[in-house]
Amino acid sequence: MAELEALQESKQEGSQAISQTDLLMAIPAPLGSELLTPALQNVLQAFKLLSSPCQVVLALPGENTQDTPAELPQNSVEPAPDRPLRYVNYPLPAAVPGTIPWLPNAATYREIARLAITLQARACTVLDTDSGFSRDSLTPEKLTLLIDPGIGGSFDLVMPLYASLAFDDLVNKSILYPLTRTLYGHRIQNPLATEFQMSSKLFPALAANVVRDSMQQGRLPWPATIAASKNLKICQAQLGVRRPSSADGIELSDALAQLTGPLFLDMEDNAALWQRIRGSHDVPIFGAASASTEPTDTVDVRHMVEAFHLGERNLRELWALILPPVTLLELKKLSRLSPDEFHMRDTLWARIVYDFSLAHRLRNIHRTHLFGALTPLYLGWVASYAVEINQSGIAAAQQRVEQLARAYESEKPYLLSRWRWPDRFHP
Amino acid sequence: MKQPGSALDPLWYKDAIIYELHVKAFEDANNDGIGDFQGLLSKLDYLQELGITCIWLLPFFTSPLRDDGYDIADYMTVHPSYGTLEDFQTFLHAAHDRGLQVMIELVVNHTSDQHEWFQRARLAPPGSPERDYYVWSDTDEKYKDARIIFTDTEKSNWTWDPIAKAYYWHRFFSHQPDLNYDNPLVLDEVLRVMRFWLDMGVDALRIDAIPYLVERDGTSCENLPETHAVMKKIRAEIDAHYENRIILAEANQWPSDVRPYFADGDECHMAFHFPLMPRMYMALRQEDRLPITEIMGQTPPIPDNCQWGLFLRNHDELTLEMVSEDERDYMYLAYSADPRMRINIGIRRRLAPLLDNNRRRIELLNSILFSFPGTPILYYGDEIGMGDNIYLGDRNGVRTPMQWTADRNAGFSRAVPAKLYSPVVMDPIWGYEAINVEAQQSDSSSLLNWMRNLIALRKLFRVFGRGALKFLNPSNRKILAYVREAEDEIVLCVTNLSRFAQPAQLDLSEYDGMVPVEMLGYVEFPSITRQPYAVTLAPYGFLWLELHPSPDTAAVQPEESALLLADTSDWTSLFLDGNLRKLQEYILPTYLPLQRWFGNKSATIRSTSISDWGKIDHCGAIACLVHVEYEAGTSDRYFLPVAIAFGDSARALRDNSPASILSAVLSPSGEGVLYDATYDPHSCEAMLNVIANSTTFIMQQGSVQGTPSSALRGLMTRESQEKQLTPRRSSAEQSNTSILFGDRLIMKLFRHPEPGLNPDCEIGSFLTEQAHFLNIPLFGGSIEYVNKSDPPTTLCMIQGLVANQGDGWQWMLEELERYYENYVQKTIPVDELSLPAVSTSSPLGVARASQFAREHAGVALDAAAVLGRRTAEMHLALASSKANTAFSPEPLTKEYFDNLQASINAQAALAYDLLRKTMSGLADDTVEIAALLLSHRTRILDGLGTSNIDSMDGQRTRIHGDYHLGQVLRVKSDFVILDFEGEPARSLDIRRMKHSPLKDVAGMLRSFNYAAWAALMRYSSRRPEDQAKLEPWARLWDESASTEFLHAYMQTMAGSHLLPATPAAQWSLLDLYLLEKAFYELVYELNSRPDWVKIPLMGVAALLQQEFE
Repeated sequence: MAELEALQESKQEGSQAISQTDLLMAIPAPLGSELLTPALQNVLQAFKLLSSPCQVVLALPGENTQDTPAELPQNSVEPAPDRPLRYVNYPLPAAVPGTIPWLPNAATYREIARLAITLQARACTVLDTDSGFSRDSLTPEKLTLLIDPGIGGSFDLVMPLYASLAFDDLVNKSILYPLTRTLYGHRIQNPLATEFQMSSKLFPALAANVVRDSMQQGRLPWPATIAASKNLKICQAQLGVRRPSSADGIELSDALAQLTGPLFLDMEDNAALWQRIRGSHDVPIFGAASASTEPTDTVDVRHMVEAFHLGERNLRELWALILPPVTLLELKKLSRLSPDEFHMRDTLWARIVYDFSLAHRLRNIHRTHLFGALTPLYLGWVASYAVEINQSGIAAAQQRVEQLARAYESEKPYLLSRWRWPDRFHP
Repeated sequence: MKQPGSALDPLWYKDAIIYELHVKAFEDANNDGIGDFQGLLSKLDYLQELGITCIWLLPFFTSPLRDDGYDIADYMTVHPSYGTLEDFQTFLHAAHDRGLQVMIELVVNHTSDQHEWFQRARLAPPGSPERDYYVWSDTDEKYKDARIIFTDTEKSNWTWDPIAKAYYWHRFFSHQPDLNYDNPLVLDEVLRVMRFWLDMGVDALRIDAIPYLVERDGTSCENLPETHAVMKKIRAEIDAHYENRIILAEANQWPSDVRPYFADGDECHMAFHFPLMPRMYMALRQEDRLPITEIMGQTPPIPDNCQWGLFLRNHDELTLEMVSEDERDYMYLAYSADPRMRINIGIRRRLAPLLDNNRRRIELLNSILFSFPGTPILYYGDEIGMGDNIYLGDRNGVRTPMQWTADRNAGFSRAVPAKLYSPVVMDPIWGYEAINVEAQQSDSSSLLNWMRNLIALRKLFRVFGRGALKFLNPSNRKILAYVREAEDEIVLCVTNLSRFAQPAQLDLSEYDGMVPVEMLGYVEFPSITRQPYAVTLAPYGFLWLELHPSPDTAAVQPEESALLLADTSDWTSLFLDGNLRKLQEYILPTYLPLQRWFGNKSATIRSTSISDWGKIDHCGAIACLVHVEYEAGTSDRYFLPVAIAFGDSARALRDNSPASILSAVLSPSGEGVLYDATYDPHSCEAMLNVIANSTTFIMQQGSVQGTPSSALRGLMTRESQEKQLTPRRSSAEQSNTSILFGDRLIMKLFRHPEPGLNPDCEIGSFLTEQAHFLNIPLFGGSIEYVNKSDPPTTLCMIQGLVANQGDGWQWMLEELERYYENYVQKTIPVDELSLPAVSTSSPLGVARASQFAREHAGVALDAAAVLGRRTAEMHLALASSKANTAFSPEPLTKEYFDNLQASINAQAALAYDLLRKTMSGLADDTVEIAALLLSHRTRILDGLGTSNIDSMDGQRTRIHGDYHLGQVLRVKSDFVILDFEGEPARSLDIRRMKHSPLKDVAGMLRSFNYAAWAALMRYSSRRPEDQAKLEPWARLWDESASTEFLHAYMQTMAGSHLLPATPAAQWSLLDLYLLEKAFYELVYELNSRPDWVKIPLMGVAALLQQEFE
């Protein structure tokens, strides 16, 4: 506990008083001491493992010291000689009601980026306040993997790479990963990062993240998209198994809207960029992959297939505003299949996602209804995936996701042609 | 409080889509029959959805409205019919919230006669500051040379004011008196008005009638220097106090007259391109691209921060001021059958009626508008194909209410129809019931949706707003084809101006290997090859094709091609395993073709391999020999010294010399770069030391040996201004790379070294060390590569650096510039026009330039004579050794002449073949000569050559081999001869062959000819009207310089036996060499510079004159 004792002597400072900062380490949500204390222990341990010592400032949410937990260290410590750890507070924007609790918030990241600019930090590490703050999940070694490539190496963005189970993280596997990979060409497996490290080159873009209207208060930051648009260097750090975060009480269609909607918005803003990118390439990975020992679950797909059938019956007219006849025909054929033989082709799913992204841009229908209409289709893809993957193991699931990503890439010309010249008279 | 504009990018206007509208015509919110700001506010969603980025508002200020608001009575208030200042601000903020920019009018050439400034001025005493706000005169005779613009209504630019008892000046209507910018108070007032609106947050100002701001007697009162001075002050005010605001100049002038309004990027940001607009209609109607390509050819380049504003229609008439009389008549006949359609010097019609409501024609012109270099400006209603009403007066027929719906008043207003400021268009074809926004929004095939898609598409490609334009010249002139290129974006646009389907063959060899992808539907087309690219276009069809890199080159991403270095001190790992594979498979094939010194750019690389490498002594650099194999089966070898840098050095290279970098290098301690070691001073010094110290270093397969000449020590230690031999890279890189050491030495790296003696080294060494010919840079030594299988290969040489006034080519061009400038207005005497035919019975070099020529081009003729003398001295020196077989003269044999004939025949056949294929793309004045040559093809080819020559006296010796004005340096009043390497594209054996010295003489004579015509081309590109007047002067200069050169040359050669003895033999041999050279030039120009083809064509024609007679 020597470090913690030393931390007790740390003192809070105004950001103006801190003249030199190598690394700003930001915690994006308020935490109780039961989480904060062990996490800070890990952080301090990690500093000792870094390839080069650096001046670190810890950013905690809250307007003033009253917002800081009592247990927070009150005096400086020296993770490296002559380089005391300091901390500052930053204003935490109000949470947007109805959003997934663990999702990052654009306004929060904006404040963190602004603080990083004020401190003239070289880099900023954002820590995950949901699953990351346990001694087991974010060990000093893993923290070092997240920090070192940016501080010691030349990478502008270090994204986390998790070893997830076959049925975890399915929105990411079915939409976020393959879509961002196809759009921006970087094979970043967890593009919606809740923990990452960025260099100062990303600060201005995150700090300027304009909230256009109240509906977009919860708009997600996509550091990987920003880095890709600026042609910055990106790598991934193997951070082990990440347990799925809770989305209790959130409707699936709302979750899809909150996770996918921001990506669709980004597609509008970055159309000139992603339309020039062909193919995709690997992003360097630091750290060894951890093999999960947990067995793969078996999923009963009947409810999902039923939901798909129900959607096909009830949402046919709505789908017709979004999807072309050939897709509707395929969906109709799918609706005749039993759960055991249910199979949605990857290229069909990729085209569906592309058509929904286009409808999102053209506002063919209200965006709330749009994601409602996507939900049974998503469940159809999940059912199809589950039928294939059940009991096949994590490696098979990874291959399956890679196969889907390749299908997204092969169908990218379809997206471009639809995007560039939207025309209802489409095959 | 000063409000910011809405644009973040200072160059936002380059990517903008501007939408021009009149507040009164757009939407009426208060139902008084006149559009207003509240109405406009309610339609912002429509504009945002359309995709436009900037709204240009026609004048909305307080005004008696006798010229639709361009007669302003108060600059700082809003006309009550349109709302209030608060309404404007609300609109402005709402537009900004949507990311839109707003442009308003700054009408400051004139005011309304109701403006308080004018009312005050007419009452003020003459000479008072108040009076002098306007331009007064006691007579209407001043400024007589100024034209009248509104010819239909105004008879004079002066109008008598009975109150002021004086005439006042007005370039437009008589109720619009011109402001007087000679009164400094006027500019103060204008700046005050400008600040008022810019402080509010307005993003752009369109400055109306800009050429007419200032008047001066004896001038046209247009585009005067004083006007530019006013504009510069306005711009300076904007730059000093505002960010990202721009001014757009309205100057209905020729492009060359508008160009000065951009100045050095410090006057206007944008200016309309008026002459292009009618020519788009003309080209469409005539089904011929020429009107467009001609006017674009006359459009000068503009500064990088400036932009043209392009439009198809606007609120005024389709102006025909910037066309010739014939063109105007044609346009009237083609586009205004009813005289009521004409007004002033133009046609008052909207886009769709002009094009007979033909959807394809509308789309075609929009496709040109959106793909030409400039910012497109749409006129409200044209996005739905609105019609006009030619029965309304003035230009009001194109200013009718916007047609929103099929409801009453076109949905524009709920007022009773009689109350509308203008009747809506109501006829069956153009009426609001047939054409309106609501209907087109629900019709996915409507023009509105088509325009929306096109706008969105254009916004994806920055190249349209910022890229360069290059026309292609397919033989079918109904096809307009051009390439837009910027950074990594290349777009090919092909347009069919005809009513019928048309084929075209496009020369896209420059883009060999790239894949065209049709931009609207993202459809991949067949890859481009070196063969003509065939396309077929539907009637009025157009293709936009983005050119993608070939899949092979596009596949490699930077991260994947970066080299990995585990230990930064062990660079040899760069040439092992994975790194070697990356180097050979990705890095070198990408890097090499981008280098200026890489010779075979047109060939496709099949593979590259590092055939040998070794560390250069005393530095970190590595000498590499790279073997390149091409798809065609040929191969080359290149010399590439490389080095690695990390940290600040790497950053400096990335920032300052990105072209030097081959690849990123990743290591645990950070990222570095592998780069061309000639960018590293230490490596350059090390190479110099290898020569100076006779060092040998070991390669993997052979070794590298440095050898100094006896002159090197002296060259290194001679007196000079620079004490140090600090190395720096010369910017003049071509097939070799040059490194300068202080002001004393120059090192030449032979990038494409061939096994064997390099002639530059060989001749330099001979002339320095044996012949002691001093009019060359002294040879200092060389580095050679030696291995077991090949003869030694010269990798680089070092020479003394010669202080000079530029090369002979540049020096002569400058002389010629002065020569043409001096005599452009003078007529050449008749007897000088027909130069006496040179008799082949007179010995070469007997003739002299005429006294007249000497008086007019004396300096250049003296220089030509000096050059002739130095050339002869060089030839005598080169032939001075009988013992050295590489240099000793040999007789001219039949075999030599047979080879010469074969060379001329091959060159001529190639030239004819190329000429035939490319003739349709040649300029009109070149086609005539080309046709003459082609029509005599068989006779010429049969008659060419040396068949009547068995042998000659005279000798062949080593010569310069690639002799022209660019190969000599002007040093005070003398010349120093450079570069004995020969033509790098030829093999060493050919370059080391012996020839008659007359081959060099022919090279220089052709160079004089080139200089005379190249300088004329340059001169007449600015003043085309002077071309014909100066052609006789060009001929006189060429003939005279050649004559003086030959005279001095032959005088110096007198007594030597190197040249044939008889005049006839001398002339025959010289003509043969001239012909060979001219055909060689013709092939080169046809392949590389079609605009220059005329020069060698004229040369060939002159030499073959007797064949035509």
